[in-house]
Amino acid sequence: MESAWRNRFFERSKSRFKDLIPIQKNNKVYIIPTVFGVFFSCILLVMLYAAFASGNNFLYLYTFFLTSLGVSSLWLTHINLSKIRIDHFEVEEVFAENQALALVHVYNSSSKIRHYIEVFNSPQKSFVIPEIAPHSFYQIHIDLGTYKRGVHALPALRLNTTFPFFLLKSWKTHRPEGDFIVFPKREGSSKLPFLKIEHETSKNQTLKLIKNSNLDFFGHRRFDPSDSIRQVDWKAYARTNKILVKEYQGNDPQEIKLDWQMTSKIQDFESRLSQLALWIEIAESKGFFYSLSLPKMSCPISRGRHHYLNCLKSLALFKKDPAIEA
Amino acid sequence: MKLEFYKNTHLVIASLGSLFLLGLEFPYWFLSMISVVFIWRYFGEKKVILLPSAWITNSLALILFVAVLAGYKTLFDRDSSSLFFSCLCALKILEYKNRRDHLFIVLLLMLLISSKFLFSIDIWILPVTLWLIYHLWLSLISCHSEKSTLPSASKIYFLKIALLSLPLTIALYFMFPRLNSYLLNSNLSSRGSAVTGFGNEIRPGSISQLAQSQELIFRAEIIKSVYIDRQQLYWRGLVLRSTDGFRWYQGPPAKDITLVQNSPEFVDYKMTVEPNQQKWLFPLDRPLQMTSSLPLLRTRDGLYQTSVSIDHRTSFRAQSNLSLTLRPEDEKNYLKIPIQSPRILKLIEALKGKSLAREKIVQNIKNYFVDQNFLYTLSAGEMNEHSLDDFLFKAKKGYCEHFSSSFAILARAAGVPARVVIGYQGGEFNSIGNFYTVRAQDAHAWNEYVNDRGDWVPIDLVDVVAPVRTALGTAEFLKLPENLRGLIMKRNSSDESFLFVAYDYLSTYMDSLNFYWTQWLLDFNLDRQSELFESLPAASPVFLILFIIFIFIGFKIRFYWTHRNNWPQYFYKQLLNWANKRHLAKKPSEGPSNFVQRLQEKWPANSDDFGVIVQNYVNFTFADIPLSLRDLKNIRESLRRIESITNSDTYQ
Repeated sequence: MESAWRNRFFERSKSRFKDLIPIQKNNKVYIIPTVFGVFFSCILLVMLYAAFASGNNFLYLYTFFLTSLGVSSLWLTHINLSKIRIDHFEVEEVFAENQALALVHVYNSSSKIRHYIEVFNSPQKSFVIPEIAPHSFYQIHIDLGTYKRGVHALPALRLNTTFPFFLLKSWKTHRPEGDFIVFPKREGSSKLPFLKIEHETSKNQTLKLIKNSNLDFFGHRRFDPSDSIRQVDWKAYARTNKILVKEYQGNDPQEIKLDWQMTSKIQDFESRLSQLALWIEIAESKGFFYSLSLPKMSCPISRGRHHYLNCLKSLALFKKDPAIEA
Repeated sequence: MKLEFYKNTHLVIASLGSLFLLGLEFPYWFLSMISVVFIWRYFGEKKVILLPSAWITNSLALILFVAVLAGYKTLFDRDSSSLFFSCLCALKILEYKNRRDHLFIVLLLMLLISSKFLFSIDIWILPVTLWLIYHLWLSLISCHSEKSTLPSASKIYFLKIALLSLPLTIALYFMFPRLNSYLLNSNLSSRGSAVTGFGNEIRPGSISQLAQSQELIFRAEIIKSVYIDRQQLYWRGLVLRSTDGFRWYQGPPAKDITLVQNSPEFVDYKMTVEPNQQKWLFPLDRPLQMTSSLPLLRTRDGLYQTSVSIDHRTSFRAQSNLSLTLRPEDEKNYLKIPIQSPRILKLIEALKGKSLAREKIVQNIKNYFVDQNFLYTLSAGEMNEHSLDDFLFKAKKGYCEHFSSSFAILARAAGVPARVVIGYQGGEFNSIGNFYTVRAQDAHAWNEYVNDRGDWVPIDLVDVVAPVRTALGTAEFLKLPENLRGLIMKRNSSDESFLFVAYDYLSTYMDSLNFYWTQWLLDFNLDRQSELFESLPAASPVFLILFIIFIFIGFKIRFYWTHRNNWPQYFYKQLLNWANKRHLAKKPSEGPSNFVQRLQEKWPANSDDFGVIVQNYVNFTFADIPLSLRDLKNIRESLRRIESITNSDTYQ
């Protein structure tokens, strides 16, 4: 009877222990004194010595009160962070060597307001949340730095706080599961491969083409340096104070077939991908239909946001293959 | 992050307050320097004038370092170190730029506030300190923001923290082991502060100088006593045996024999002595014993002194017996006098008469002073080496040192052994606190002579020539017109204004509050702590059990109170936690029903239990169906069954 009870007890405690570890790992709050905290303790020691040496009970009282405030802040700094978690972590569309911005939702699951929580990936680029209301989240953009083309695991984020008295620093690390894709950087000639004329003329050509064709006005988009200045909708500029370019939709838009071989003149592998990425960007921004064919991979002709991202994703995931190079 | 000093109001208040609080203890130039620094900083931030660069402040710091070192010859005692740190803090305020500077200033201020307690432990410092701590720590909270703004409700938040810290403060205060600090021989109290009270001798005018000072010497709380009148309060300090006719001094040591009597006139009292850089103590005449945290010595003639000079407020416990009999070991020590003028010798002959009885001679001397209309006054005029002649035959006015000195000489000349005793007489009684406050103006000198039985008998000639003086106290007595000083009269209080009475009452009240506070602080020493710990074990088991029960009940009440309106949600949350631990957390896309369905599929045996919890949750949350007590019982049992699903069941 007794041994059965004992087995049951150990079984349960063991299983609980085993279960608890992975859950707590991401949520564990660590706490250490700051430099100020260390100096504060030294000053307390000095005061204690003075109180002891002079037998001054008033000084003892003062020293112990400050000590107690310090000890209380140990708990306060801990609870300021303990119920804070990262609910949503998503890296926005990012190109190689550009700043990767992450959209982060910091959630306060406690019933108390929380103050001054620092969120960062690298300490130089931290974001401080002044306060989060109870049971609500705070949306921030975190600068993750620059990345190379390809698939990257989502980086760990650190939540930090020294609230209220800077005596202690508590932190927890959020290690998200999942990854994000970094597209190749857009670089190279902005001359689209289907037009053999000079760049500036090509734009005029496009304009002419638009004017002559029976394209319908589709909407506005932001001005891109690759656009001709003549495409700017000045009336819209006067209205909105933003430089906008008209977009058209019609029966006979241009079609571009982008191919890996088109970049064969470029030696560097990454530069070839960058050139294709730039062309995709231009084609998409001008509303052209385009397709992309890479060795062992292709995107059929289409246009739109989804197609655009698909093409860029193909480029991002494209690996250097010696056989293809040959 | 760039910060501006004057934007952080709390830091401004804390630094200004702390530096001025401490500035009261320093030379006057310090307060002027602080004012200049704060004004400079203000106009510097307004861009009216330039703030000093780092090298200017650094060189100023160096100059101050040298100046303080030159002035005090050290940097390791209370005065010089706190002055130097205050100057550093002021210079740092000029440099204030960022959070690091802010934290540095806060640390310095904490240290400076603490050093104030080495100067004074009066009760008025307590509220000021609390107010400074409040602003100092709020400045830390506001320092998180660049604009130095406080988050909402920070003041309440800090007060809560302070309240939360109190139990630990109190526990530490009583539990932290105290040691006898005089063993350390520290420099924390300054050697520079003035010596107050008596020297080791008196000369004409030395006590009348003291009588013009309001300085506090000690307070004495009567703990247990028979009725004693103020006229009986003679605080005995030094016994002066030798004279050169002009001054009285201690001379070679002599012994007194104490004859113990079972007398009812026994006084038990507590003295709190202010720092005076002296070793002599002033117990009530005649002391039986004295105890203190400082080591005490009892001299051969029954006087008390400490082994180190009193450089901080110290409390003593003492017992005296007013009718204790002392007897000189050798009477010859008390008969030596310098050669006197013929006029004095003639007077002595007259006073002696034919009688050989010592009491009779003393009575004659007393009568002489009364008959000749001697005047008790502070302004006795200049006295020279022949002061006794001048006093007895010319001026016929003087202060207590003149009367006591001349009595002793006359008595000795007439063959009665006599000596001068100096100390304090009376004191201001605080009726609220039941204690006497003795100030420098209460300094007094009186005599003792040996009677025919061979015992020392105290006698105060001032009591003979000016009885009002001992009844009213020096301060009140000196307010009287000179011609009334010889008469016995009561103070007429009807002409005092209401404001005066209120002020009098308030100051009495504050004084007694301050007295109890300092008593409380001073009393808690190693002995008191040991007493406290000795008294603890008897009470502790009961107290501990009650404490645990109290905490337990408190938590239970809090738990039930929090969940009184949301039990179904509480149990549902418990279920979510349970699932979390088994890596079956509810997915964001799932509703409660889908989630439970998944669990039910995994553990078909407990299907109903899952169902009960979720059904009640859904009913309560979305359909507003209240929970009955029976349902509550059901849910609780279901959850208990679910929680008893072991790991082995998990992997079935």
